[in-house]
Amino acid sequence: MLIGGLVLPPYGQIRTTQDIDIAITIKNMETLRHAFEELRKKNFEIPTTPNLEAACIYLFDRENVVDVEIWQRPDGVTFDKQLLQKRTRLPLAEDLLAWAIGPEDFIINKLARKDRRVQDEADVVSVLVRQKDRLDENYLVRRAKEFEVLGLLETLKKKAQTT
Amino acid sequence: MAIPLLVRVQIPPRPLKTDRFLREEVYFPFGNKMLDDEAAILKAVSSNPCGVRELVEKLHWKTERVVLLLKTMEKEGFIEFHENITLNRGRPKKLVVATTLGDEFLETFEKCQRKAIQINYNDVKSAVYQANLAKKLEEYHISPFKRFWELNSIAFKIRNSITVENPAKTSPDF
Repeated sequence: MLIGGLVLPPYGQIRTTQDIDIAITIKNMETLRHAFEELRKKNFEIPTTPNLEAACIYLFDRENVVDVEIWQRPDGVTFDKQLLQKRTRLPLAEDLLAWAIGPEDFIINKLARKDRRVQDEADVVSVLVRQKDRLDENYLVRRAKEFEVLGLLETLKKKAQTT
Repeated sequence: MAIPLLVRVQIPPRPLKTDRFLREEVYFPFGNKMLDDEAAILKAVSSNPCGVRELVEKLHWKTERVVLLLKTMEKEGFIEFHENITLNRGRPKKLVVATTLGDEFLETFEKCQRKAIQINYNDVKSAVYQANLAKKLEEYHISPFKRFWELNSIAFKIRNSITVENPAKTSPDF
């Protein structure tokens, strides 16, 4: 499932990014090892040995010269039934559809980041403005409480109202 | 009511040390309290010159702080003290008046405030990371400009494919 800047265009203001963030959930080591073996075969450089405990695994696509971040535990994201229901399909190319994080979880992921930037807050404001009536407010607030970012969310909502 | 008569009583101000502002811009990228304070004083007196006591009341600051700032600003040429001669008894009141330079400073300061780019430490780290990615592209003989447009076109393609008439498909499987 795609997360990060690449997911912003359908929900908020277009802002291009140079890397790709992907969230995965793999429960056993064998599957993880197999997934990364396949990536190696496809000419991906994997600098570290993948393990289930790593929050993020960095890859480098040698063929296309693209940095990829594989997130096993993205900030503000709980892999559960509701999160999966809120995913959307994004067309990355003519014949390539990819799952992307839903707008509410996108917001929480941005706000719960330990290394949150001012840019992340601006991204959230743009989503709040553009998705104003489409967001599942109850779900958003519940997730914001879960990740202790409700105060920040309220502040940004006020900012979005004046934007 | 007595008509105020403004009389200049102070010696001409010393020339402005512009390098001070350059230094402060470099060393105080996240705001400079003194410049903020000076701008607040200029804002308070620009449209309506007033005495020190009134200024203290307007700003809700300590008298010593206001007096100290006024002295500095006078030296910088931002304000002048004009004597308000009236027919009333007692010592004539000194009015704080913004000079042309002070008005110009306030205008520029407010313009800069509007243009301020908000960033934090993580934004700077991210900018360095993005710059390193661009450097990596060059090492692989890929134009960062072309890559930017490639990503831009993907971003537009994604956005244009999801419209109100054609909303994003949500997962029905869970």
